[in-house]
Amino acid sequence: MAIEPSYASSYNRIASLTLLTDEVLWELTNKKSSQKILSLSSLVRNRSYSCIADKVANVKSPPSYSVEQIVSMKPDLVLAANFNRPSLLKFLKQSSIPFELFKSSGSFSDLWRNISRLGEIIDEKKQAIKMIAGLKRRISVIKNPKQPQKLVSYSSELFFPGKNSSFSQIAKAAKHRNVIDEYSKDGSWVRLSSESLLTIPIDFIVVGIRPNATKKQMIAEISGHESWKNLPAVRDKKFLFISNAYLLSLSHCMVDAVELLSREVYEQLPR
Amino acid sequence: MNSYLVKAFCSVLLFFLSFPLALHFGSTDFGLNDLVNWFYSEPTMDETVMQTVLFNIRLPRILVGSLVGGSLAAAGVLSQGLFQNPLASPSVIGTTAGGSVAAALMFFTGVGGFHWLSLPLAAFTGCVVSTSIILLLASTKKMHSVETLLLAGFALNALFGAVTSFVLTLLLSDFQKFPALMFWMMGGLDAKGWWHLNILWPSVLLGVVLAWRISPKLDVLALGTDVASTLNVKVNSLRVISIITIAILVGAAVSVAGAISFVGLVVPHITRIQFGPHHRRLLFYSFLNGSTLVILSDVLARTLWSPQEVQVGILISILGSVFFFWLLFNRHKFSGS
Repeated sequence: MAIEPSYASSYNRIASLTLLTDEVLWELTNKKSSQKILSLSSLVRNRSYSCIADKVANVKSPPSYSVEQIVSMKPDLVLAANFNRPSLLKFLKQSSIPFELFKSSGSFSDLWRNISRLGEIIDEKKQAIKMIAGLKRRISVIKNPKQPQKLVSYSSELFFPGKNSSFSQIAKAAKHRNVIDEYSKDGSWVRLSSESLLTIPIDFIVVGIRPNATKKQMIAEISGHESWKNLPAVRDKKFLFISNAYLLSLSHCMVDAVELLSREVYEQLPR
Repeated sequence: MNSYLVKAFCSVLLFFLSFPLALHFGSTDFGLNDLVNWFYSEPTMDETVMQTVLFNIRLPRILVGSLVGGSLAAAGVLSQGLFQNPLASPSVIGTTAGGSVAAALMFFTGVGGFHWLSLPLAAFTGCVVSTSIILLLASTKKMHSVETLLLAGFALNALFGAVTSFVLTLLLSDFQKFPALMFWMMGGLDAKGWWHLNILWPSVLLGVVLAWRISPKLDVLALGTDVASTLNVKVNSLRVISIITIAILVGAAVSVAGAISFVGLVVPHITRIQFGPHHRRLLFYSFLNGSTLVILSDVLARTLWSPQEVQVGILISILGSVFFFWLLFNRHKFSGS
């Protein structure tokens, strides 16, 4: 018989080491008990990656976490993910600090599992159930386009997310398709050659836009890039601009990316 | 036919064969046969793509690869001649590391994205600065011996390597700059166009002309510093010009293709076995062999894992080190030749 894990009824000094757990933790605790949070990850205030950057100005966020820092902060719970440094994870496993490891959300089912588990850990189970239901509802109302579009995520290094990536899941939930899916044999990220890129049929290029960059700058960059400038989609200016913080998210903000992507495609297609 | 002519013929033939070979093979199915067909048919969509692949992607890439390989090999010949040590190469005396650290700082500050010329210029400046440090050290009395200079090169390499690693750790959480710098440091010919060729060829030409002019003096230097001095060779000015030429050649290559190592070490070695120690001859054939090595390695980089691509710098380091091991274990066979 499986034994259900039991958690302390209430943690009041939670340290989150990753943006994934930062964003979900903030959403689950924000309205009534954000004082439970001791510190968030170093990326949480970076508007290029964090979808809650503007909301967490008063929360502690060290530039990076060392073992000493974690110990000295005296957290009663540490939230980490499988992509944290192995040496740090090994230390946490061996230490007496309560520690929970989360798996990177490559898919929406991973995301629901992470939200549900974190809700249970921090005694916000009902809030987690409500949050998941809300997110699922938002995805369910995404309309089917007349024709699913073939999308590719812009990368200046031609390093593309494959079918197990959050980008593929976002494209799929928006009823479109990441064209790189079929080129990535194991589903991971893949680096393509310039000439291969030229032969891939692409309807739209999804560009993650940073807060300090303008669309005009990004178009100029892509149009001048040796590997991209010859693509018909570039010549026809088939760009979809989505905030980088949503596009790269592994948290509930993936759903914002789905909505934004769906809307951007809808607005660009002839009616 | 004597053995020199056979070896020379092989080097030249391989060099010229590498161009059509590299134009024919790539990560897509387009090849020279499509080019022939194109002359006899009306252009279709596929043919437009074919033209772009062959003329705007592969051809400039091959030419850039050729100049990069040639200039790195030529710089290797000069380094080994100047330091009178077969271990000396631009990557050993800190020239390449200087380019890498400058590029890393460009990525870190974001200045590299301001203009397409900023990264190549910075890498070039880094190579010149690092080589100038060695040059300054060479001009002091305490650093007069070649061994001390080589050791200074090792120290400079370690220093620049540490700075580059530090910048890399600072960029760890930047998902855009970190991979860009990593790929740059691995060295590659992807996304090289005609404008890369335009910024590369003048420096390579200047470097090769300078190298050609000082090569006979390096032959004299090989007899020893004292003998060279008595034979009217101004050793100190020869050192200065050689180091400047190395900086120009490596700076040009690194600025366009990133930190490709091993070419400057392995190619002059192989060429010396083929053609002997005469520097002009060594320079000429090292340039050809370096070009051939980079062009053919790039064909492998493009085709082995197609449609994925490997950085050519990685492949050259693997091939170069394996070959170097083989060479070290079999050098007794060549020592008599």
